[in-house]
Amino acid sequence: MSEFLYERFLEDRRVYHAARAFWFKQVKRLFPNKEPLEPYLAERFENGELFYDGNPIINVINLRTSKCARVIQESPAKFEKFYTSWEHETSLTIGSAGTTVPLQEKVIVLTLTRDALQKSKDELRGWLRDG
Amino acid sequence: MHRGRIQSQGGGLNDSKPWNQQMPLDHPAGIGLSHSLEAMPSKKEKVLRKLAHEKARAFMDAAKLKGGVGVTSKTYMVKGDPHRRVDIEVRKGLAFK
Repeated sequence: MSEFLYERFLEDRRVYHAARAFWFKQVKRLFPNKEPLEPYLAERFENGELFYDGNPIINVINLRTSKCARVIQESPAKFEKFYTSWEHETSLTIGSAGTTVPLQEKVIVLTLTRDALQKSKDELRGWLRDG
Repeated sequence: MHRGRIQSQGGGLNDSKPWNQQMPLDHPAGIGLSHSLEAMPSKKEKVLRKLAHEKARAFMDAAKLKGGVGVTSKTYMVKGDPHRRVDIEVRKGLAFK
């Protein structure tokens, strides 16, 4: 049995949607006290179609701390076991006001195993919670 | 306004090709910026980053067919390397239509 979760997410759109829903649930469960999380990046083209490339598979900004994070899920067929992450400052236009704001962003790039999932959840919890 | 940048990061590189203009960055201009960014570093870095640049351009090709893309960030890692990467950042407006 494969150690990778949602291994065929790039080949089968049903698997992709399941993987995406899985990530939403995992991130929501990180904060039982209901931190104000919402997406801050487009995951769809202008015609409404999802990117379907796992880049990002999930993205969230905590409106309380103004810290944001995105997770990029790579194919195990190409990347095998892989995990890296970094933090940096960027600036993006958030919301409908059209104002560009500086953001502290964490980026995690992984192939999804149970170990990688746990590590990413630990990183996301600490990063998004602390202002 | 429409703003963003394509960049090569990690492995000692910090190269960037930005745009900042009244009209959305169209697909040919995006592809052009990508090729000029790819041409900047040493031969070794070009070889290492070839696939990452190709994947970035494939995203621009997909965006062209689907009406462009709004504010987003894309990261294309060099396989097996935790640092080397190519980024697309659409920071404001639309791109690759």
